[in-house]
Amino acid sequence: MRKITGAVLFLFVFCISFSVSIMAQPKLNIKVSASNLLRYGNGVENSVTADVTKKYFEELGDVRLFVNDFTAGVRYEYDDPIEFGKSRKGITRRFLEFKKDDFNVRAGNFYDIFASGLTLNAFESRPLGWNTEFDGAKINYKHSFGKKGNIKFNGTLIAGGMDFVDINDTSRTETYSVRAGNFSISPVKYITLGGSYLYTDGKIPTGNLITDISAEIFEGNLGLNYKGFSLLFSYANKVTISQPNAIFTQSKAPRGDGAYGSISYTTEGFGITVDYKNYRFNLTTPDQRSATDPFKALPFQNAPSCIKVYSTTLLSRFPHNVDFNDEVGFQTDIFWSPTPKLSINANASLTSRHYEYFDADTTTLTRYERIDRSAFLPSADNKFSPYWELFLEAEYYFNKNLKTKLGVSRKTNVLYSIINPDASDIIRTFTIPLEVQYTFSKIYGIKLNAEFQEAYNSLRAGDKNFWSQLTSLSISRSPNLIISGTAEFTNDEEDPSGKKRWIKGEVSYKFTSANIIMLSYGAERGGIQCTSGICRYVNPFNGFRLTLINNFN
Amino acid sequence: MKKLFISVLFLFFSAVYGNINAQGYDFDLNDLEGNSVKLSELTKTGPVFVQFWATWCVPCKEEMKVLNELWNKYKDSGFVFVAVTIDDQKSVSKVKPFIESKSYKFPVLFDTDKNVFSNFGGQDPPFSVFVDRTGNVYKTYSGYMQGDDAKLEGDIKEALKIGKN
Repeated sequence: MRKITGAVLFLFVFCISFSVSIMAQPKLNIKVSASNLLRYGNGVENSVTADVTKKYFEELGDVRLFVNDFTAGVRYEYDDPIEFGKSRKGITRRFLEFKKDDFNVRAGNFYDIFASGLTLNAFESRPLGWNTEFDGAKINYKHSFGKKGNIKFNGTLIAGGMDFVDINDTSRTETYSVRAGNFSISPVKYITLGGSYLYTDGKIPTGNLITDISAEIFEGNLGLNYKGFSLLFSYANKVTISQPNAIFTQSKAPRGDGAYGSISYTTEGFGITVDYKNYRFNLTTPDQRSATDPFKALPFQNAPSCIKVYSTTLLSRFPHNVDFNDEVGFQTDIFWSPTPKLSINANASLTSRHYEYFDADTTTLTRYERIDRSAFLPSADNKFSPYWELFLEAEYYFNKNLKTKLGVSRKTNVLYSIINPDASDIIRTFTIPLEVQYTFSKIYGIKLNAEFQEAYNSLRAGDKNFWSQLTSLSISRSPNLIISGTAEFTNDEEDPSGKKRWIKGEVSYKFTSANIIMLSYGAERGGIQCTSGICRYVNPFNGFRLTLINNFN
Repeated sequence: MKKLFISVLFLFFSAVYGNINAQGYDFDLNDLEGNSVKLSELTKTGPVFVQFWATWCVPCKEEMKVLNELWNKYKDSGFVFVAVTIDDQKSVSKVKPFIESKSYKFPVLFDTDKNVFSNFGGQDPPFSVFVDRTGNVYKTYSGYMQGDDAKLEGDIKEALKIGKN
């Protein structure tokens, strides 16, 4: 029904807008832009229990047509099958957008973000299979008032539906119908005030049972920007009402809230940011935590994770899965360039659950109760499932052609088990990444990446301490060719793939500056992959991959 | 067979039509100070190199260093460089500290919902478009590799020359 309504709305807005535009603008200015992504893989996915043949073919073509003030876009997708998630075939995205001066209206598919994302942050991460795309309509208006135009207003209204596929159980699809609005006003140059409101009706499946919910989220935010100082604070409050069913025999209406703040200071050659998060959208006892809990933070609520995003392989391994329902923490990040040749990046973060719990029932039953405390700051105690990390990296240019980067990282992640504390999942890593890059003969370059990691994993039955080592060497010929080889080794006896060695070769060739083919063959270790605090386990893979990226601008 | 056909078809289009000159569109984004910046205003000065980047993208930062040097070298000739960040809510607070720590002076704009990025056909950063004085997309770039600075400088010189004719 929603799809039909969406299609009718889309056609209606298209016809009205197009007719008005054609009458008003007899001279047509037509342009086209297109892009394409083709992915193919053929190999074997490894696990301790079995090796499974893995084949995928994904074709995504995007075309955008610009006609005067209109933009129309279509995506054609053909998955046979998709690498991860639900395969789709046919037109999977279409939109029509009208933009004139301060006014912008869009009908069809869209993503959006309100302030820091406490209320709404819809996005797609294809490697994770995550997609919180809306199908509906969006209106945006921004305008500058006052004699000098120094009073600024920005407002957005959205209405639409969403089918959200759970990335950890792709047979589960949650559906939402959303109405929301967001505004920000800057009355003077240094201050911005804003707020947002969201209402949704949702259907959340648990097995064969569906819980109908409705939720309201109110959010307010304040931004200050004066010379080198910037401050942002955002607070959201959510109430969720569930309809009675076999799971919830009575209607419930619990409240949850979340706060995010960041303060930064910058001066010539130096910048520091401190981020703070306090997410309490669904504080529950350990036995009640569930991905299908209807009172959880909704999938389109995605606030800042306040943890470091790494770009190298071993540093990215053993990441922290952010729980937007129950997490408090902070992060400090420093960039410092004492000389034009030397840059330093330092990062420290600590995050944990708000409370520890105990079993208050002295009989054979279990009844958890929390131990109250002032929970504005995280705790490093294992009972709070803490995650902390320290990272330091220095980049030095010996000259224009030779660059090196050396880092050091220490991370600890605890998943506390209240039933059996000795069975808590504790992972500690110490990692040293090194990169050396040299360019010679103007167009030829060589890059060496080496990472060494010592790890401790409490859930290993045998030796809990192990190491991993990764070396990658690539040779490039600008502007079109890169050949690289990667080798990774470990002495971990219990790696999920059952292997201790992964070797892969890769070739990347550019036909033109924006059309690239990438071919790889060999073994990949897999592991947990994260985007914006959302994670999924990626199976180890051994085989052939092809990626073709085209841009026809 | 069908898959093979589609693959070969796109390889063919990549090789033959990769340099088609079409056009993007005008955008209006906020800079680090909250001021509104329009592409159509920037092109009045000269050809505009629009780089889409993120604080977590290593090759983007390497390319940005090179583009900053080229911008300092050619800005008096009319070359305009803008860095559009696609950092989202998780890392957007680090954009200004990173830019200031490097003492970069070129305009930096925010595209946190990636709408402009996707309208230009961007898939992964680094991704750049070179827009000429008339607003046409002159060239598109995906990825960055060592040694690309010579190629970029050649393209800038060419774009400056085209604009004068």
